[in-house]
Amino acid sequence: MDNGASSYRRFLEGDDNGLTEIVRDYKDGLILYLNGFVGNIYAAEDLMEETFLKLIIKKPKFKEESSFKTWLYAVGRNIAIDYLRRNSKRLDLSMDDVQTYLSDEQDVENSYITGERNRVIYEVLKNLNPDYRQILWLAYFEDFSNSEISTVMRKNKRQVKNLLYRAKNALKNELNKEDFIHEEL
Amino acid sequence: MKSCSEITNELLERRENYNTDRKNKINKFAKISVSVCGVCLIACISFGLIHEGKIGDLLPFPENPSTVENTGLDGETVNDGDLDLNIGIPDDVKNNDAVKFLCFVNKIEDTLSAAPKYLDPALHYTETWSDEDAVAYLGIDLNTITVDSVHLKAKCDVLESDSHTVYFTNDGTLVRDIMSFECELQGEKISVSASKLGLPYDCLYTTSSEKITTYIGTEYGNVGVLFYGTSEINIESEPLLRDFIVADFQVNGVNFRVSAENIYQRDFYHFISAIVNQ
Repeated sequence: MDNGASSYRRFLEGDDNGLTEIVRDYKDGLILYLNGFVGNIYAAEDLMEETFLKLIIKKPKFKEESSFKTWLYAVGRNIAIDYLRRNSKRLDLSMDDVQTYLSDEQDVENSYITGERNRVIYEVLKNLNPDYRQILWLAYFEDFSNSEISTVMRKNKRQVKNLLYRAKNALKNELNKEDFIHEEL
Repeated sequence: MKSCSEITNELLERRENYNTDRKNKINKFAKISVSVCGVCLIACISFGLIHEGKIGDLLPFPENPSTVENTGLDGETVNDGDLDLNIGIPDDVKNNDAVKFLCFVNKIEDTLSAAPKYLDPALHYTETWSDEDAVAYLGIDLNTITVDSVHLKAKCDVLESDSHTVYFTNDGTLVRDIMSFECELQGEKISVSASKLGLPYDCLYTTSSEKITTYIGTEYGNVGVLFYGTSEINIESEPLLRDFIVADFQVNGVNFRVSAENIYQRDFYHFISAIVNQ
């Protein structure tokens, strides 16, 4: 049982500090993962809150068939899919909003993503399609195994393997393009 | 971007709001459910009581009113308590529903209605008949009606019947002939409507009523009379005093609706008998 599972169990027993620990440990990763889905950091933040709200209101049972983080991301993914079904339109932002938006996104990235290599990869991920973005995020930033990715993304292992292969190729192409741009500069 | 503690506090606050809303919804649902169940329960009980006949004819019209005197077929006086309203009627006629040809409350059975209906002025014309015309048409003169019983000996005086409007189609067919009179019988006022085309009224509008079909003998046969009575002013009174009573019947091709208020049931009965036996 990881720390998240322990914190969640304590929360279910009536200790609100358990919730505080879960939010502290998982909020940034969840926001960035959900941002890969919805492409909007504000919406991702709202969805992160909705994910935690679902835990504290519905109190779903964590069966320990996977890690707590895998289970939490799967819950967040379902909420994000519902959100995308309801809202097909992206948020319209003014120029001031865009400045704040970029600043907020930068903050959460800086707090969660360490190392220059990871920052470059994260930037390049934004240019990929959502499925590639998700699987690469889970594989490289969350260190999820193929089995855990298949749980979160609700795909079988073969599909995960194929998707990951295609996503890596797409990432390589984007990185090459990035290098080419750097060279030109 | 919100801090961890801000997010946690906000989540806990939303949880409180959710729980409060949920409690309110449950309370509201419980209240509505109790109300609906109450209404259903009352409806079920009412339906059951009506079905069992415990609601409805709360004050049944006496089958053989003991306070009424009757002059039988042969003119003999029948004393209180000896009255048999079905006297002289063969059993097969007594038990034949077809004999009960007069209407029940809000319902006509086998008898045409002459109740007022819209008549297009473009297709009809009217005539105003005098009392004499009406008497000649109906073949009965209410001024000649006399009641002669142990309790009441009186002659009917027609009070109001200035004129009677009858309607014809443009080709001369009579389509409405309802004529109304008001008689005074020893201080008691009685309304009489008559028509040869059908029952003057096809409905009786009362909040409660009891009905009974009885037969009044004449030298020509028996006439079925459908009485409607509303609840008594004083059920203990002797003789029985009705706050409202109505009789529908047909005699010699004329359909009558007779009604009176605050009248002794026996006097009303004798008045009807007098019309039937005229």
